[in-house]
Amino acid sequence: MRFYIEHEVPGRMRVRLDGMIPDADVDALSQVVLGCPAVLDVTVFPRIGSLAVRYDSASREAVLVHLCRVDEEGVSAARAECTVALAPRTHSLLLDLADLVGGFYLRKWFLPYPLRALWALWRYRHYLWEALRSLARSRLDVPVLDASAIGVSLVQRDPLTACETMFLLDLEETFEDYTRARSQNELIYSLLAMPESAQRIRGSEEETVSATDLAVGDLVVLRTGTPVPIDGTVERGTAMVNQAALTGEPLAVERTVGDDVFAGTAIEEGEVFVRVRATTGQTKLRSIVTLVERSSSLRSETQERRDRLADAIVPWNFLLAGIVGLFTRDITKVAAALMVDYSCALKLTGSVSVLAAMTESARLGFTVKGSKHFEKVAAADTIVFDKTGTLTEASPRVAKVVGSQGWSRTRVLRLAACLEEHYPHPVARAVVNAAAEQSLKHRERHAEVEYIVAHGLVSSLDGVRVIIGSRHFVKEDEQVYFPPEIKERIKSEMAGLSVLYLAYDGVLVGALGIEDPLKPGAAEAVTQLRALGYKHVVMLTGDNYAAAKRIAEVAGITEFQANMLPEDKHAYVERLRQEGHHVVMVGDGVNDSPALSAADVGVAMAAGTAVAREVADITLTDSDLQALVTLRRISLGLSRRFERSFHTIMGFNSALLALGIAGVITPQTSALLHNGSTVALGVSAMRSYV
Amino acid sequence: MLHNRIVIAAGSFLLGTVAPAVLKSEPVHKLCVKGVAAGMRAKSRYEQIVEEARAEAGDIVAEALYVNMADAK
Repeated sequence: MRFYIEHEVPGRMRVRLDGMIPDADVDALSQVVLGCPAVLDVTVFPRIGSLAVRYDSASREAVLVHLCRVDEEGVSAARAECTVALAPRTHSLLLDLADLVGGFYLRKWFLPYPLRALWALWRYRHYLWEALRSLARSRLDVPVLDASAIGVSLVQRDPLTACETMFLLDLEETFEDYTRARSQNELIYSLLAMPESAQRIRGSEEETVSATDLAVGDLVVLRTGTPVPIDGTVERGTAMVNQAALTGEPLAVERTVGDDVFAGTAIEEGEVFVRVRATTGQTKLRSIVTLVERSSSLRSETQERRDRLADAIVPWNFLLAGIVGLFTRDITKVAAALMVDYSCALKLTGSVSVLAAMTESARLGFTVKGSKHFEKVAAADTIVFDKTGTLTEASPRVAKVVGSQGWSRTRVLRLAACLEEHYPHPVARAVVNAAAEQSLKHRERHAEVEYIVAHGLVSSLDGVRVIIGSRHFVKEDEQVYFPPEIKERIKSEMAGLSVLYLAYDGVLVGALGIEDPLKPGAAEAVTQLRALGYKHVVMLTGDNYAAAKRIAEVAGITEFQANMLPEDKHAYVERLRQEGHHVVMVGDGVNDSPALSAADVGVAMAAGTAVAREVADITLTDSDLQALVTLRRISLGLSRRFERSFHTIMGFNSALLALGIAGVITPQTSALLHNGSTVALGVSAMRSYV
Repeated sequence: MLHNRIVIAAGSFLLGTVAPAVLKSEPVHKLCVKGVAAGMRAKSRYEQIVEEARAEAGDIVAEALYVNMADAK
């Protein structure tokens, strides 16, 4: 790719290409440029053929080399993969607005009066049509008021005011469309971000392949915590499948032999062997369409309420106009009563405020699936954390391994890794990583692994029962014998660590001490969250009491519950809600997903499992807890902005109405002030929140 | 007033019948094409100017951020 640098400061450069960039290539080109790891962010200016690239300032050379290498073929290949092209375009808001404003002033300044009047009439037909449709359904709502207000201006031979009103309504519509497209895009991206690999069964071997390589007729195995990348029929096994993304049903449904599973859902618990019926290529479009359809129900409740309120005021507007007409017999004063409608400003500031919040969230590292979640976050008084992976590092480390009964540390670690590698949990990953670091090879010698959620794993090795899991599970549930010698060593060598117990044939043969340090900044985040109005900060964990207490103390959390099963977490959140609390739940694992869906708002951490991210309403794109503080700030800011603009609009416009009817100001002045204030409020709603 | 209305109605009728015929005539057709083409060029140029302004604004903000950061150090 040939280009020259047009502007540069360390960490950002804007380059100019040879010619314009076709609209169809914008996404593909961004994807290709983002392919360079040093590139943080790309903005494409298609019409002037320019690219602004933010990058890690240490890697300027690498970025330049990468940009030089971008070619036609790479972009075409990316375009083929860009399902995102289906997503509504969002980069053209500014141009749409510019066109709207430019067109308006062009007509205002250069079009002679008769043509302007004709233009106004021509544009008016949409509004008239909408109004007639409302009337046909015997509804007296905002479209009727809009059409009447414009109509009165036209009757008074004042096309300028009519055009101004229509221009403002167009402006509002553009913002509204953009906001909607934006939230739909957030959803689509969160779906596309799901990892797309699958475990394919070939003969007796299991292999990890990219989901796009699967063909119809392949057999895949899906386990706890994995997303379903394809449509297929279950041939063996049973699983609880979370179909929330497709059906909106929060509770998992059981799927067993002969049942169908669908792409876009996720396995909450269990293991199924599925014969592929439709591949990713065939299902992706449907998943996207389904999500986008659902997103229309995600508009914020406040926004809905304001729209309903705007509709409810309309009959009063008409009544007022009627009374004024009856007493004054003066069409100018009737016009004054109709000209000032609250809906325009209410809707415009509403959608612009939400848009600003959405944009800011995306920039600051979280994906919000629909604007209503901001409102829930703002209303929440309780925040509940999962411990592992949420308050503590996403990647815990195996700090200590002990063996007993003749088992070496290597042997303990090897078997543990062999069992744990099937499960997407931070602790499991820690064990697998520890084995990989010591380059331990483990062949699949065990039978099918059974996963007891939040407890542990059971399988058999050469016909002997092997168990790995928490103390409660291994000792109490499975009645494993703990030889005194290893008990002693665990006590002395693993103080302060979370311990994973490994049993072979009913006897404890080893233990793995997992170090699970608190995330840097977690304690500050908790303090700030309290300052921002969360009355209760709670930590729930499946871990033992001692480990929970230690972490809670360091993080400054006073309310915590240990030894919790997923259903306990779910029940705890349910109980909080029944007590009248508004709950935000933050989690990352399979075992959190019931609680995430039970809470008013579920927030999933970046490194979380597919199920957690599927169920969650908000996904953090990095694992820093500071994002939660920002989220709360933005949400509170949004609701404050809603409130404030509501009062301003009501007060200001009521005053205009009174002045207009009293005859102090003319309808033209009142329309000008009304429209001017609407634009001003709209612009002020664009301000950033933090 | 009535007189005016009759004139307007007659004018509209005339325009309605004559306009299609006029649009079909070769020179008028060419003129229209040129007019629309010029309009489209103007719109595209206008959009380029807007985007250029946006790009420049981005540069200015980036540079300002950098200056502030450098000052803070």
